[in-house]
Amino acid sequence: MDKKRKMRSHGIFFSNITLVQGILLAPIVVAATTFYNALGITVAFSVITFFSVFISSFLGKGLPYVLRLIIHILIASILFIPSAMLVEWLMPGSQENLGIYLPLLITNSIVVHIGGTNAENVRLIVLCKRLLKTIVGFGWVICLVGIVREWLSYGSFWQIKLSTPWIPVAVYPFAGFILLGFLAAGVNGLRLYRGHFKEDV
Amino acid sequence: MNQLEGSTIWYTGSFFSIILVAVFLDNTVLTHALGMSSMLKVIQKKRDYTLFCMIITVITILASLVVYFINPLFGSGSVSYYIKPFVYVLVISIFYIAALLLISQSSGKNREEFSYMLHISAFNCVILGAMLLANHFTMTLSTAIGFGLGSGIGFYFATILIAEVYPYLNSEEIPKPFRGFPATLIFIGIISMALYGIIGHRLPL
Repeated sequence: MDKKRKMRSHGIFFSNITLVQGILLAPIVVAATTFYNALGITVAFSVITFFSVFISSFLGKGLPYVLRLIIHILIASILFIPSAMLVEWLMPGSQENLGIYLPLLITNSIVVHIGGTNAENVRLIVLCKRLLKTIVGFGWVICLVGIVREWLSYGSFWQIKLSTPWIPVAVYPFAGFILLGFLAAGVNGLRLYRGHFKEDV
Repeated sequence: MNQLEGSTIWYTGSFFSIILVAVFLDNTVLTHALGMSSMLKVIQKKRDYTLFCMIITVITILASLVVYFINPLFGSGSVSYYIKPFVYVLVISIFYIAALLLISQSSGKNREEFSYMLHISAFNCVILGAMLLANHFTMTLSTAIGFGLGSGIGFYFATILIAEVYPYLNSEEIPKPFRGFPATLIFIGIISMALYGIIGHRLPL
């Protein structure tokens, strides 16, 4: 892989926000029990995170950190309304399935972290690229976990029965933690193999 | 007199039982995986996690109290589902500003540490999560306080557990790909599974 291509995939795989940086664990561990749920979370996360950061990047330069953070999170909580409606429209029943994990996306670490920093110091195009990488990085992990857990616990894919359930307890949070731990170790192994590895992540 | 005694016992009993529920059954970290990224950051940077958890506990208690008073105003229906998060975030923001003003008035030597911890804990998922979870219970004043306190204690309990073993999970004894974060996740998974068994579930084998 050449240097440019390596940089392009950096935020998505080798410095993945969930598997390497340990951010946004709760929806993956608890709510991503099926592919359907995982996709619902991804859609809501994309809308809330992308648009809240995008709108907040137009906030005045001189705004103090605390005020900037509060306004940013209030914007995210307003954006939660259309995003929850969109998820329910695209995937009926998602609001009930996802419970508190849909509104909790308002205070996800990406929103909180970027909300407090001076996002306007970064060029808009660069910011959008970073956000898209973050969304793709989060999206593939949650969808993979959702697919694996649905197959293990229900023996199905997108609610289509494929086999008998292998491990019915895979829907519980402890299975989510363990599966995510092995996935993180897999990515670390690849990073180690390619020389990306930093011990303290 | 007997009626007063009876209601006191009932309130005390429900207060302590909701604390137990929040610490073990509905543990913010082991059952709901809330607030883990900031908790791991505090542990990895070897900062004062007791102070971090204390701030979270205080805000969670206050937030649960507010939930108890404002929830009846929402009524039921889908509109409240969409509006509640905005109102909860507004409440947390007010606490955040009030706490910062309080800290700015103090002249203690730990002022900077307090401010840092407040910045990372105010919008922690544990607080908003506890407010949203409180909707699942029929609350009295004592259970509202108990649930907030229990959520904070549960978070502290999980933080101590992880902070104590983190040096081992990040040691040379652990294979490099698993070292640190992956081993921590697997460890939390095992503890969470143990807790699941302790509270009376049986695996469907």
